Amino acid sequence: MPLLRPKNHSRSHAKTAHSQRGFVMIEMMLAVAIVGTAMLATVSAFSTASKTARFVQETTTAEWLATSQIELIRVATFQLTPGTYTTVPAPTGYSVANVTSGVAGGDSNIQIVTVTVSRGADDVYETSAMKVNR
Amino acid sequence: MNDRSSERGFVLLEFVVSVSFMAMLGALVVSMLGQGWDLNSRNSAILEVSVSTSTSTTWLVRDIHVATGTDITDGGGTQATAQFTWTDAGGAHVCDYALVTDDLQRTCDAVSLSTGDNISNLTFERSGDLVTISYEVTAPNRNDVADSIVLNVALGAG
Repeated sequence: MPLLRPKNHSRSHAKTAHSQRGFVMIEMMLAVAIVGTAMLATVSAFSTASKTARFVQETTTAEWLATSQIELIRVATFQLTPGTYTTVPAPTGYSVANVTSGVAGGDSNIQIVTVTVSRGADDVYETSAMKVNR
Repeated sequence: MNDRSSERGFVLLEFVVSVSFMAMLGALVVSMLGQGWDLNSRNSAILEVSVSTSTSTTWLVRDIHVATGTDITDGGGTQATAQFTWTDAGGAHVCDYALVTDDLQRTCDAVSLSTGDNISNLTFERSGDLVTISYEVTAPNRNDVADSIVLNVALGAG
């Protein structure tokens, strides 16, 4: 569809006007395609930036939560394996869980404590530490 | 004459359609730029809060792990500042933590550094060997980006 059309309608210009109409149509399609691609790229960049920021925020929060939990377990009374220790309170949307497991060799005075930080249904961070009954 | 008249009207209609299309496109682009600006501001705020949280917790854990003494009273409730002491091969060390404006400052052996900024409501508490540090990190000019930290650290566990 032509956006602007010359006012000259004489026969001598009929061919020129016809070819110019076609050219304007292609131009418009190209312009729409370019603008559409640029918008898609922008939306994609927004989405990626948003995901990255969310990942950084989740990881930072999960790290201090896991550290806090491990430190609490350090000073807690040794619990027999298998077992769990008291969990630290977590910010809204996050939860912290811990589970103990035995070590190779069967020494019941040593255990591995695995701490998992979740956000919603997703586990976002996991770390382990040794605890010794002493 | 009739043809010319109808064609002029058609060109005008096309022009109006084209201007409307451009206006809608422009509005869409402006809206996207606005969202992009807000997203950029929010992402910068998140990164700023994350860096502040990460550096402050790292320093606190490091110092409290090596500390053998503190001025935090066991079971004595919360206090706004804390001192940690220890002795190593380099001699005796004294490290103070306090909030200076919105900076969590660590002054160790008379050398001060900011371990994190945009911090408020800092408190220290002790229960046995467990030191609990609570504080909030809020992004400047973005109250919707904040982190409320409650960090437990075992005294002398390092």
